[in-house]
Amino acid sequence: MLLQLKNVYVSYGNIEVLHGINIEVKEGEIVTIIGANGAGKSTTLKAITGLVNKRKNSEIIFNGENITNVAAEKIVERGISLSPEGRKIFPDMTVMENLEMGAYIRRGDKEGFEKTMKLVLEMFPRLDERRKQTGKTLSGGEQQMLAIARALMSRPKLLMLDEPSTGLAPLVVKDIFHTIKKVNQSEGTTVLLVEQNAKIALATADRGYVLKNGDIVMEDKASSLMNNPDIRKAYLGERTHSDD
Amino acid sequence: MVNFIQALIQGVAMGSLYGLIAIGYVLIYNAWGILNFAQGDMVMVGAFAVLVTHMRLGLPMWLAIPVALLICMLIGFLIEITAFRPLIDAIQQRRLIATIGIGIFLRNLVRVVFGADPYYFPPIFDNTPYKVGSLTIVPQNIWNMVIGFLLIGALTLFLKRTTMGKSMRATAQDREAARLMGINVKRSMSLTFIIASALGGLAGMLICPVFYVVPTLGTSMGNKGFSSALFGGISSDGGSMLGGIVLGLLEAIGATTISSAFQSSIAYAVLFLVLIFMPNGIFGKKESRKV
Repeated sequence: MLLQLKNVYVSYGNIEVLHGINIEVKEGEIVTIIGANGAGKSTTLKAITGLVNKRKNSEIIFNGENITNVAAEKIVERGISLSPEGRKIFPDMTVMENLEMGAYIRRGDKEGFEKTMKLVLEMFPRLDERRKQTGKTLSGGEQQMLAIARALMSRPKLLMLDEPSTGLAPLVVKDIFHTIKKVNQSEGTTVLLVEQNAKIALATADRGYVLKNGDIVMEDKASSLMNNPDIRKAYLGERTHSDD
Repeated sequence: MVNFIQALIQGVAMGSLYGLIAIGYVLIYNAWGILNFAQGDMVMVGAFAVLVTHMRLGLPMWLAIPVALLICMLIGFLIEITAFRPLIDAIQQRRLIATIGIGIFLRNLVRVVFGADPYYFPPIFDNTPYKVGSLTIVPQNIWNMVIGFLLIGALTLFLKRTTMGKSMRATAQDREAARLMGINVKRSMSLTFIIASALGGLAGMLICPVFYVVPTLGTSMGNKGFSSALFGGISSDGGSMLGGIVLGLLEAIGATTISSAFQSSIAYAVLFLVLIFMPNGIFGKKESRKV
């Protein structure tokens, strides 16, 4: 087991947003967490990266180590990389500088850096064309690619993606998810994917969790979730016969 | 014509010092999202630091200045960790008031220790005027110019070329994303404050021989640096140097063509005009930051 969340509670002020959730991710898998706006999906990823505090008794185990209270800036060294919600690329830095920051923890290793850079730019040829452009001048799709590419620069064991489809045209979304699949298959990078677009997320993932109001309400193989009538109705926008 | 060229030299020399002060405002504004109203007072602190190391402790100038710089850096760091770091996630107004408060604190602390009387400080560089043709050149002006430009050049290289400089920029642009990259943002912020304090302090040391050293030195110098920073565009590092030089030139030319009595009012006139007509400065980006 690569990642285990045991009984994870998170509160913002007095409002509890995660009510003790349990999630497991095996090495080499693509796991998705789907759910509506405000279900706690992003909070789950922030809890893993240490950007939000967890309540006592919450436990997060990564690669056999307890990382529950590891500070956010130390998480990437453990092998977890996050492509955050809203992309959060560095707007006034060039594509190359953004990628360089992604490899910040490996700043001593020039050779490895060049190798990873080459690999990542092959995966995202659009970024290669835009090397010298600053982040803010990129299109939404390119910014998303940059956010994922930057997260890959640290050569993570676990790549976490927060809503990579937000605000992008369907064709661009397809392209990005294709690349996510490729990263998983060719590099063996484990992926934890949070998405509101349940359709493409379930089509890409091996397994899925359904998060609702801060609780995991369902967990299954992605293909089974996709065929589950309740899921189809609630998250895939499909009308059932009883509605007619 | 000779007078005009004379004014140009004087203006650029003074302007490069304004630029050094201005860049401190810019560095902190970019990293902290707030104008640091205590930045001018760091100029004053620099002046008093070198007064202590050179006049009181009797260190030779080549040693007095580096030691005074270290003092400025230390004070800048202490201010950051005590007054600014605890407020990092506070609303803008509270952080703004903290910078004003620190400024008042520094001015009055210095007044208590040194009194309000002006101190004389000897020239750091040769200030005997030389005749070059019909021009009069004061080596001190040339040195100030050279130091100003070299430092801005060095700072730009540091920010654009080194990993540490880039991580400072990354922290300034998105603190949370910087943490996710593994950047120690606390250290990065401290470094920003230390560099800004050192640059402001050094400007204060170079200004010492020109003006008398008084606790309110920072107010006038701070306003000039602040005007330069706004003029260059508060979010642009390179612009502030140019803003400083433009202000220095306007002052010098104004003093020779209108009246030297108007010299200081020119800075404020520039400030007003910039705020009214070019709120983003000449190189500034459109303000889109959410703070």
